[in-house]
Amino acid sequence: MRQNTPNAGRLGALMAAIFIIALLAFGRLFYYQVIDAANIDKISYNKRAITVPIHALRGDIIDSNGVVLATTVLRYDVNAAPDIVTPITRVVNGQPTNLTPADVANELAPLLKMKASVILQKITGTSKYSNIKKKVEATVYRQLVALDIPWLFFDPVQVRVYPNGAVAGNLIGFLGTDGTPLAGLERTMNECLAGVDGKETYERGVDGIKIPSSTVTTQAAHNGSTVVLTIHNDLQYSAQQVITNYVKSERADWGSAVIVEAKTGKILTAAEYPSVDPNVFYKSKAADRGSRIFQATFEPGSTMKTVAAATAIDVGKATPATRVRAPQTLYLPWGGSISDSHAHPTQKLTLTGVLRDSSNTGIVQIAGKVPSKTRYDYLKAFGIGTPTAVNFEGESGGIMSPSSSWDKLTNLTTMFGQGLAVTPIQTAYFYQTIANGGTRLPAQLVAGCQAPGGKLVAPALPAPVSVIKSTTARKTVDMLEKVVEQGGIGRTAAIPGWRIAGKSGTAQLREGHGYGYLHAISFIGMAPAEDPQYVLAVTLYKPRTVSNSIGATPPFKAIMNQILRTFSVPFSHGKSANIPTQW
Amino acid sequence: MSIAYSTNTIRRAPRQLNPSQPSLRLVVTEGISRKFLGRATMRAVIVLTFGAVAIIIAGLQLSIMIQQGSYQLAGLKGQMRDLSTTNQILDEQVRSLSSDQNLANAAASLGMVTNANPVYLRLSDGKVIGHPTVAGSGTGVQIGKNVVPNAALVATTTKAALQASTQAALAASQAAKSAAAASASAALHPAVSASTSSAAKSGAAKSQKANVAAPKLVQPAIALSASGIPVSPTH
Repeated sequence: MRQNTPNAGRLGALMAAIFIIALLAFGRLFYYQVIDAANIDKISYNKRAITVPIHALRGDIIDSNGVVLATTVLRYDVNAAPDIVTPITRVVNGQPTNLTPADVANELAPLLKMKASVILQKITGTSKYSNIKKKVEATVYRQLVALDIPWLFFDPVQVRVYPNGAVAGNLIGFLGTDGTPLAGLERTMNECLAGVDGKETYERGVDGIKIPSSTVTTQAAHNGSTVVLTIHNDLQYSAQQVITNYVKSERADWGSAVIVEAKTGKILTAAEYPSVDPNVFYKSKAADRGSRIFQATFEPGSTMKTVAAATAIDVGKATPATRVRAPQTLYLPWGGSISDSHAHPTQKLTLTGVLRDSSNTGIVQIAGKVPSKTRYDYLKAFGIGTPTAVNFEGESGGIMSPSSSWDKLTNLTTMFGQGLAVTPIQTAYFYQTIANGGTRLPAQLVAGCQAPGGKLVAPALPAPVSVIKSTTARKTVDMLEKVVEQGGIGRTAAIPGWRIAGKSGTAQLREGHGYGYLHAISFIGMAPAEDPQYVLAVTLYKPRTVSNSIGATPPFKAIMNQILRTFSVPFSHGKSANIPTQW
Repeated sequence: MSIAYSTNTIRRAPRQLNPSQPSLRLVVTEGISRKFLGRATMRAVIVLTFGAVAIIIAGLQLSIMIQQGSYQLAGLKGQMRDLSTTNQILDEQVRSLSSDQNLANAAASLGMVTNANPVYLRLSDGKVIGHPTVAGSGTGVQIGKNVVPNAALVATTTKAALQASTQAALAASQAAKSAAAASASAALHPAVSASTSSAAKSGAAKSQKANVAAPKLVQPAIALSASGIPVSPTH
């Protein structure tokens, strides 16, 4: 080639230009492919990839037989995108028909139980999102989907449902509308019930379908565990039926019935009225949304005479046949006096007779032989002053001041259940202790927490408390059987075929500085008396139509009948112990 | 793949000949004919070409299949969602129908109340335990209709359904009775036939009333009992 032609210079310049451009292009390419590649990849991935949350289901709450008391179902929020709301075409009888948004609103109105005008207002506009209705049921959702309206969207939401309504509602508690547990076992057992949400990320095409061979990262959702209760659903329901009827007919403030399995300490039923239906908890008064069985305290009255008598026997100061003269009114050396609720001449009673007639003057003479400190220790061992092992939210341990601070009158009234306060659940466990040979078992409401496919994990329970000797317990049951056999009120709790042991209580209630005219009435008993299996404690607070415990035995009897039938308890054998009641 | 056989005569580069040096000449490999070599080449090319095409087609097919599978998966997932919705709806209905409140109301609608004074017959000595009393006539409150609220009742048992199932139970017991009469083995189980006939009697009393309300329901009920499927009282 020759060097010095003008063409050669131009060619050289062109070549240089091309080289520079190529270099620039290569440089840019190098930047995209190597230096910024990761970043670009990420942007691209984010455009294709979507992350879908996998919602974990909250665990169920079931009774001891597996009856579902609380479960989670899906409801659907119905949303529209007003900016794309257009008339739709639908084929009706082979003819394409145009439906305006107003027509669609008319079509939706009966399904959503809303006014068409309200729906039309919600779907008109330029926004991209408008909620029409929240949480419609699955049946309605299905009908809506069948309408095939392109600008309607559905978001599934988890909703808590309580299939048996108010059955054990006060125990179970409820969730707020946002799913936050607000009360009861729903709150205290939340750690067991709550699940852990997962998520799934995958790449999808324009049509929303997953791109094959694209990587999917899945973080599995872990559904919540099931809470298994000791509650027996059928018994719980029938007890609630009975209590509701009696609270209404006796015009009481509230009432409760607690059934405890004597040998296991399991709570089979904790029925109360007013009750709360967790499905619509907001319809109940705030005061009725908890459980009075665990939270309300009252002066128990004469049902505590059983504890005083058992204490006296246990420390060797009395036997069931210990004799006493019980006057109508007992005048005390320091000037005070104790009276019986019913007028009677001075009676010659044994300790058993004192319980049968529920004599205040009799019990203070016998149990008064026991030092107050000793009686205080026994009352504590029976469970007063400490919440039960259930540890229900807001549970009260009852109220009892130390024996050192008891005045002369309180020293006596504590023997017949005045001057101290207990919860309905505590009263049931005083009698459970006696029914179980003197050993108080920890109260149990939750049998355990069961992970999906896992084993039932029972909660840790405190050790049983040995309160009285087993011989004392047996003697006490024998005395209580005489109450039902012979007592004026006790007899109304008798059930043909079974030996029942129990004690009534009519407690005065503090009103201002003294006691008011309304009472808390109760009957606590066990069956069968020869080997007690079930303890039932019935309490009615401030009944207006009756003023003594004669109002508590009919619900006691109705519920005890149900217990005996439910568990097919064999008829009792043998006779009650031969103990004199008077002399 | 770069083996080639020259079929042309080799041209020599023009240069001065050295007579002492022997000239180069073509060496033909013995035993391999040219024709064969040509055919083998062709075969290799064809196999390779077809192989490549087949691989491409198979790959394409696989890709299409995976793609289709992806759509099928999405479709099946939708179907599963649909079925679980159906499952949930049915579950809720079953729970509602079997709830305490629905059962109590169904019993109350038939005029039933809780017996506060149950009476038992002890089989060992034939003793009657308890005092027969008309429910609600004593001191206690009569407990019948449900008073425990439940806002979750999505399905309830209707009186018509109860009557229909009474009809079905009656038809079933009648069918069982006639079958038992025909069978000689029935004589071996007097207790069963006795209970069946008493059920048939109590059913017959009700059917007189129910017949007026739903006379047409008897027919399918018989068909059911013939196939031996127990008829549920709530459906």
